[in-house]
Amino acid sequence: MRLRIRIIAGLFIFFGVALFARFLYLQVYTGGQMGNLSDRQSAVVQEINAERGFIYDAKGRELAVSVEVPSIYAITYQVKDAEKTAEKVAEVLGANKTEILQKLKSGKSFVWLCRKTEYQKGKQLKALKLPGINMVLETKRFYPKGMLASHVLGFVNADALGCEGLEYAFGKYLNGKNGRLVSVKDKKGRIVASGEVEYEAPQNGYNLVLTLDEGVQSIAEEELNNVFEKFHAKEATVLVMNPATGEILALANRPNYDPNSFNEYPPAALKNRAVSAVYEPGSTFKAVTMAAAFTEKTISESDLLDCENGEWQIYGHKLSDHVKYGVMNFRDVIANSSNIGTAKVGQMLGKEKLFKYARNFGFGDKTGIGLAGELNGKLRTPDKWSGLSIYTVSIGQEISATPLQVVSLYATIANKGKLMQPMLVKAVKSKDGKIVKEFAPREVRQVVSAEVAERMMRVLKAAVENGTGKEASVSGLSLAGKTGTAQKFDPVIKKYSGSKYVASFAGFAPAENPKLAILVVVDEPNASKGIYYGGSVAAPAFGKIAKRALRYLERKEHDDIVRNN
Amino acid sequence: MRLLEQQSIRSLNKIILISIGVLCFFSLIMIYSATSTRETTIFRYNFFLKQLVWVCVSFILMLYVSRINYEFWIGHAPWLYYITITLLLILLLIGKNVFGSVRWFHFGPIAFQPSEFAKVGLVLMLTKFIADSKGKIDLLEGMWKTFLLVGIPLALILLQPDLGTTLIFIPMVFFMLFIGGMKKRYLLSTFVLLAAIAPIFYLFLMKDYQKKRIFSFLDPAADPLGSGYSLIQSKIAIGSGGLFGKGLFRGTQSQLNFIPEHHTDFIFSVIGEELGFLLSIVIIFIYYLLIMEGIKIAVYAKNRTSAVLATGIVAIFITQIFINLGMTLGLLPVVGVPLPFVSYGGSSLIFSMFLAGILLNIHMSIKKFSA
Repeated sequence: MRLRIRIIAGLFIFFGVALFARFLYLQVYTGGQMGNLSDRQSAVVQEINAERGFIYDAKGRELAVSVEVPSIYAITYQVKDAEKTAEKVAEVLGANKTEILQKLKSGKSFVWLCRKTEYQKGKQLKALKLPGINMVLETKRFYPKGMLASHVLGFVNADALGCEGLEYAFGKYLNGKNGRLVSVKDKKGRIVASGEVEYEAPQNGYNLVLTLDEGVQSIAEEELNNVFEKFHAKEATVLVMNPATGEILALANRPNYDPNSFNEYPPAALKNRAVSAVYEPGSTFKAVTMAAAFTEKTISESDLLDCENGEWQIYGHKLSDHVKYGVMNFRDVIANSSNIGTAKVGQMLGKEKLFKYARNFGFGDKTGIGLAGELNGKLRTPDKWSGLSIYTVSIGQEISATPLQVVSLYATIANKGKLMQPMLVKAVKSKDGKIVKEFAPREVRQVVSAEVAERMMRVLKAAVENGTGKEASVSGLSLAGKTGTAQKFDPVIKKYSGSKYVASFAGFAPAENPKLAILVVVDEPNASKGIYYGGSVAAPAFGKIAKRALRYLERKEHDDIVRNN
Repeated sequence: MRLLEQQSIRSLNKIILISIGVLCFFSLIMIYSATSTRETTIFRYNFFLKQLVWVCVSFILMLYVSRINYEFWIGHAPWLYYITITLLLILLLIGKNVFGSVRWFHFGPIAFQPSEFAKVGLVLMLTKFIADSKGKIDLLEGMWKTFLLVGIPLALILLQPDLGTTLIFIPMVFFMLFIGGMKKRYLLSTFVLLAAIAPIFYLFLMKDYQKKRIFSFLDPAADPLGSGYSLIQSKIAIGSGGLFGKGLFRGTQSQLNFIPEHHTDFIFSVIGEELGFLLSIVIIFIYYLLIMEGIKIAVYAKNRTSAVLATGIVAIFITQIFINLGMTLGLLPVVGVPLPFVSYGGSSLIFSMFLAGILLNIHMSIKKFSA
C-alpha cells in the first residue's frame, strides 16, 4: 500500500516538475517576447465619434448634417510588402504612390492614409484585404445646401472641430462628447470580440435651430449675386432681419465659399463681412443724426436749411453735395442725402449728443450676436474729435461700423425705437427634440420714442419715394430706407479715394408695418461705368429682396395657416 | 482525557497549517490587486472583504474539524452522500443559470456551489465503501457498486454542466481505489473503458462550448479571439511577468481585464504577471510542501481506511492544482476549476478547509510520524 502511495507521490512530482518547466519556459525563456506581445496587444482605445448636432433653419430645413464616411489607416508593422500595398492603395484612392509608401515607411506604427474618403473607395479597399490596411467610419460634416449661408454656418476641420461661424461659436453644443471603446486587438490588429473591456457611450451633440429662413436666405443670396456680378464688386454683404425680434433671416457675403470644400478657397472668402468687417456707413448713418435731432427737438421735418449750393468750406475743408441744392427743408435734406444740410444739423446738435445717440444705437460696440471675430467698429469718444469731426460724423464719415450694426439701426427705427439684440440661433435641441436652451428675443434699449421713430419712417419713406432711394421702389410696396455712398479711404494716398466707393442701402419694408429690415452693402462697385451711388447699385437689390422676401413670407404664412387648418 | 486533548493540539501538523495560511495570505493580496481596477472602490473592497471573512471562517472551521475524529465523518458518509445527491438534483431543477450553466445556489449575498460539497460527500462515501467491502470491490459486484456510487453524482455534476469538477473526481476515484487495494488490471480496464466511451461522450453529450475549448487547447491560435482567447491571454499574462513580475496592481493584462475570471479561476495569471517567476515558484513550492505532507500522512496512516481517505483528499487537491495551473499555463483546456486556497470563492475555500481539517485529524491519529 505504501508503495502505491509512493507511486502517486512520484506522479505528483513528475507533474510538478512539468509545471516548473512550463513556468521557466514562459516567464524566463520567452519572458521578453511575451512582454512585447503584452504591450503591443494591450488595450486599444478607440474613440467612438459622437454625432455632431445638425443645424436647421427656422422652418426645420437641414443646413448642416453629419454623415458617416470611411477613413483609411495603416498599421505599418502589419503591412507585408509595402511597395505592392502602396501601389494598390494609391490606385484605389487615386493618390500618389510614393506619398503612401513614405507614410508606410515612416516608422510610426499608425498612419492615416486618407481621411474621410468616399464610401465606394473604402469598400474597394476592404475587398482587397491588404494586411495592415484598415478602415474606420468617421463622421463627416455635410452641408446639403452648399454655399448657402456658408458664413453663418462655418465649417468643421478634419478632426470634427468647428472652425468659423456657428460651427465654432456653438461648438460646445454641437460637438457632443466622444465615447470610448477600450478593446483588445490581436497580433493582426483585429478587434477581439470577446475582449471588450470598457464602453463609454458617446453623447451626441445638440441640434441648432436658427432664425435663418432658407427661403429668405436664397432670395438674398440670389439678389446679392446679381448685384455682385453686375457691378464687378470687390465684396458685398446682405442682411435681412426681423425688426420686431432681432432675428436674422438672411445673412450673406461675397465672396463666399462652399463649407464642404472650404480648403479650396482663399482665406478672404471665409470672412464673414457682416460682422467681421467694418466700413464707413456714409449717408445711411444720417438716420442717427436725424434721430438725435428729432428727439432733442433741434429741428423738425419742415424746418429749412441752406445747402450752400453744393459747396461749404469749414475748417479749411470742402464739404460738397452730389447735386447743388439751395434752401430746402430737413425732410428733403435727408431724402436727397445732402451732406451740407445734415452736417449743419449735426453742428446744431453738438458732438456730445450725436455721440450719445450713435452709442445708443449700438455703434462702437459688439452687438453680441455671438459669432467669433465680431468687430466693434470705430466710434471715437467726443474728447478725441477734431473740430471737423462733428460735420463728418453726422454724415457717417470718420466712423466705421459693421453691416450688422447698420441693419440694427434701421431695425430699431422699424421697431418703434426699440433696439433688439440681433440673434441667429433660436433654440438648442437634443437629438430627440427636447429643448435644451431657448433664446428669446431680447430688447436692448428704447433708443428713440415710438413717435420719433414714426416721424423718421416718414422721412425715410420720402427718400425712397422721391429722394435718392427712388431706384429701390417697387410697385405695390411702400419702402423706407436710405442710400449710402461712402468714398473709401485709400491708405496709399492717405486721402479719400476718388474711384473707390462703398455703395449701400439700408431700410425696412413695408414702411408702415415693417416686417423686414434689410441692408445691402456693395464694396467697390466697378466705378468705370460711372455707377457707384448707393441709390443705383444697392437700392434696386434692396427693393427686389424686400418684395420677394415679403411675398415668400406671406405665402409661407398662408401655407402654414392652410396646413394648420 | 485532558492530556489527550493537549497532545492532539500539539500534534497539529504545522507544515499544513502554515502552508495553508501563507496561501490564504497571497490569495487575499492577489484578489485585492486583481479587482483593484473595478470602477468603484466599494466593489474592490467587496471582493477582498468577502474573501477575508471566508478565510477567517473557514480557517476556524478547519481547526474545529481537525479535532473531530475522522471516523465520525466516515460514519455519517451516507447522509452526506444523499444530501449531495439531493442538492445536485435540486440545483438542476431550480438553480440559477449563469453563463449557460447552473452551478450555484444563491442565499442572499452568498452563492453556494453544491459541486464543492459533492467533493466532501463523495470522498467520504467512497472511503466508507472501500472500508466496508474489505477487498470485495475486486469482484464484479463491487465494480458495479463503485460505478453507481461514483457515477450518479458525477452524472449530475456533468449535467450542470461542470466539466472541471467532474474531471477532479476521476483521478480521486482512481487513486482511492488504487490505494484501497483494487487490482491493477481492473483499474487499467476501467481506464480503457473510460477512454473508449470518451468519444461517445464528446459526440453526444458535450456542449459546443466545451468542445471548442478542447479544440482551442490543441490549437489556441486557430481561434485566438473566441475560444482560444483566455488560454492565449493567460499565457501572455504569465509570460509577460518575467523573472520578477510587473509589481502588484501593475499587470496590464490582468488589470485591464484581458483575462476573464481573473480573480477566480485565472488568479494565477495575475500572480504570474504581477509577482513574476520567482514568487510563482515560491507558491508552487508551498503547494508542494502541502501535498507532500498530505502524502506522508497517507503513508503513515494507522490503517487502510484513513490512508484511503487521506489519499482521496490529497488527490482532490492535486487534481485541482494541476488542472487549474495547467489551464492557466496553457497546458490544459479551459475548464472552470478553482485553485484551492487561492481562488476567490467561499464554497471552494470552505470545503477545501474542511478536507484539510480531516487530513489534520488523520495526522493526529498517527502515533508515530517520522518527519
